[in-house]
Amino acid sequence: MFAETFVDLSKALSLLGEWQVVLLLILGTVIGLVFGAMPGIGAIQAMVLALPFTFGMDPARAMFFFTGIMGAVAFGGSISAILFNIPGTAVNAATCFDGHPMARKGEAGRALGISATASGLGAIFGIMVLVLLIPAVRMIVMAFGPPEFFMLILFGLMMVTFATRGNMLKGLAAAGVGIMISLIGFGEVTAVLRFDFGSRNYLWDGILLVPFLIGIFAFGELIHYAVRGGSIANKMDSGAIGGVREALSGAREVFRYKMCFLRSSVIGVVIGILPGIGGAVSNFVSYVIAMQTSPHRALFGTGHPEGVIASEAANDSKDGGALLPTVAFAIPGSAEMAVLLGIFILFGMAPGPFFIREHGDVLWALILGLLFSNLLTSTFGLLGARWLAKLTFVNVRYLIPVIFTLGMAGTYVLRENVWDVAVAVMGGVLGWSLVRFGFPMLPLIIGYILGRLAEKAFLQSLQMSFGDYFVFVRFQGIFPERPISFILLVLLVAIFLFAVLKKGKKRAAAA
Amino acid sequence: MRVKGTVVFGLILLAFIGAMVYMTLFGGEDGEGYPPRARLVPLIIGLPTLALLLYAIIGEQWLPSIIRRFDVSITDFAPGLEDEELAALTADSTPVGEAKETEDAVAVLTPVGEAKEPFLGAISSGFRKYVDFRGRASRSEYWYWAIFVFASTEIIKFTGASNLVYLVVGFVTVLPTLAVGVRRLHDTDRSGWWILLMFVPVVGSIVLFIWLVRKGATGENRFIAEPMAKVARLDTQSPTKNQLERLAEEGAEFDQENLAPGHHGEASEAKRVLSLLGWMVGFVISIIFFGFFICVPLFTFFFLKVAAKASWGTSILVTFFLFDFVWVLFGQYFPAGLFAGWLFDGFVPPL
Repeated sequence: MFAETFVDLSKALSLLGEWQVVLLLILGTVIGLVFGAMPGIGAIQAMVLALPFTFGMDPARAMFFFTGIMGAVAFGGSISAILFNIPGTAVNAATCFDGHPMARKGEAGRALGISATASGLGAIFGIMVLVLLIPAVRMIVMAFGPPEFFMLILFGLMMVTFATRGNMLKGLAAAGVGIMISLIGFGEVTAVLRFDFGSRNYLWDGILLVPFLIGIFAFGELIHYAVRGGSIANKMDSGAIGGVREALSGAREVFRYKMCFLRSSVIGVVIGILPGIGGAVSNFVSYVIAMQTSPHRALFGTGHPEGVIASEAANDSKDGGALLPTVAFAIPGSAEMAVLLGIFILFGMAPGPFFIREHGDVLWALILGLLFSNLLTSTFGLLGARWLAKLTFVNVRYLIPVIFTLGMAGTYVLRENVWDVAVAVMGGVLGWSLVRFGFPMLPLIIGYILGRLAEKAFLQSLQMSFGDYFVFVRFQGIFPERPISFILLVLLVAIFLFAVLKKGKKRAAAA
Repeated sequence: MRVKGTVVFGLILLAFIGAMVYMTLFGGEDGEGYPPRARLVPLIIGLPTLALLLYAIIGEQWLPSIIRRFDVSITDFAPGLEDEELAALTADSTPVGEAKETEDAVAVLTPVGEAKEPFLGAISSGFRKYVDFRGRASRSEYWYWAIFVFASTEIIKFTGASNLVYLVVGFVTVLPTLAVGVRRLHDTDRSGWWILLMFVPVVGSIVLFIWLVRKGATGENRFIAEPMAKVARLDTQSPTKNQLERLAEEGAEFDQENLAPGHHGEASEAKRVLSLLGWMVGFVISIIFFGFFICVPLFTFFFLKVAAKASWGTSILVTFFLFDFVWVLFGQYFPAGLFAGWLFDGFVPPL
């Protein structure tokens, strides 16, 4: 077993000595960066479009190409998230909350340095976990059924109350609006058409993630630009735009907030392993948890390094986690992994328990490819940050048409439905109005992303238990039937009680 | 009475959620609401949201202070907040994602004369000094000319015009290109004959390129005075009054409109939002009718020229490169390409 692993590893390593393979890796990385930074399109489109070029290639060599794309996309997305408040891919959405305020303060170079380092190290962390966890993955995947998912998502939804700043009621209302928007379309379990508003086709699929996110972040920000004028970062003299040094100071931040980085990476890996949740959730959960556990809670949302670390570490470490069930059980942990699964099959390799034994070299090619592609992107990020950061000093008048056009094109090509473009513009109006009129944006987006998942998990749990609402907490003797769900519920209640008691104490102190 | 934006926005959200709750209760296929399971979550979420929104609208505006006292905030719920953080939170109630308004007027200074329209200036001087191999040329003069020549040949290629047009443009631009190159070399304090380096394969053009992008010699050299226009450059974007006065004395003209007081005023906010929304909606509607390839260049160019008041050169350059990028990445690489427009048989799915 050990000898076989070693042989496979050395086979994959020897491939890296070929210049064609290195070229493929670099090419994939560049494609990944471009596709990541463009709003709307991401790893899925890049991989699908790159697929025909790899026909006839040896699978292990082709994997270097695909992992180059996969590893680079998450950092590419953070570039546009930090510079322009556009989540380049859905997994970068939470980076906007602290990355863009940093850019506004004239610290875009530092934010990019943080993102590059956190992404790179996060991915390496995820890969290490992947290598170590291969034997235990089956247990983890099997332990999470719909009731556990529901409790986990409920946990995420409860975070909304902590993520809200200012008026709590407006925060809760915004979360409710987000959940209601997520319920539009055919119900996942009940197959009932809900909230169609007389639509005969479009709303049946619901409001799609990418147009909505592009609208609410990017186009909303454009309206904000138009009102504000000037350039994104106004203080040209504040931060030392001193080249690599600034990016390296960002890299140092990651080591300063070690705990935040480790916690976020673990969250990313766990959410990556769990099938069906997807990367778009990982960065939000990690961001909100970082916000709640950080001693600098009040600084979140104003351009605090931990916010960027949390989001970026989670969204890159999830790749390692998601790769695990994909190769071991053919259960894709995210949409990108589903594409990768298809690629395996196209290359005539059956994913599943025998994959590691029969195609060990391909697995190691995947691991090494991810590793080196992340190293490449991080180096690129640290070196290129100074030039990218200059974009924040361009007058926004010139940026508006460019960002708007690219956002529209990215929204359209996703599924070639021209109405998505209109939805994105409406999302922009919604996003701008929310911020302008004091409704916090984070709860709405968390509600929108988690609402549908929560409903699905809840109704599936009920189906499992034939309509028994106690499926989450049923006991068998003295042991809970589903221990994880039970523990999560206890934690939920404990946190809630703690908050209420704390409030009572504060009231008493005030009186 | 001036209606507050918060109320209007809150009412819109209220109507939206209200319609959803109504559909849950009575909508459905048979007019008796959705089946029980599909009704569960929308009602659990929808009714409280409705109440909260109502409260957010009314409480914000008209509720007497007695009721407002029960308003809770994050400080009541978040466990373990320390006192100084509480102070920070209450002081800084800026919602996530909102920038603090800066009061500084943001100045975008544009230099005078030739440099005000650097692109057009470079083109006109290129033609004006058609065979002028004396004197010096600034970096902007040379490189804007180079971009102009490159762009015009690209456009001709793109339109698929005959080779004759291509040839004519080549003949017209070859002499001024040589001349401006010689003048640029003079600017870097070198003899114009170095332009012949371009005939040395590979190495020659690299060396030439490096020379041509280097900054010119300051002051006078053997090829007369420095060509740089008197360009007003500010290190900070919020100039002080002194700086502005000093620049005015030096004769710099700048964009007065951007410096005018009230630039960031409340009154103009609605106008700015509505104008940008007008552009956006207009773009979407024209895309539905005419498709991306007609609308992207038109929108970009007109937005830059009309709304952003950019110079001709900037407008044309940004439009050209943006269109090129969109055309290559989305039009060529994606097999299905971009939307062609309803008038050109693009498929508009039913709503």
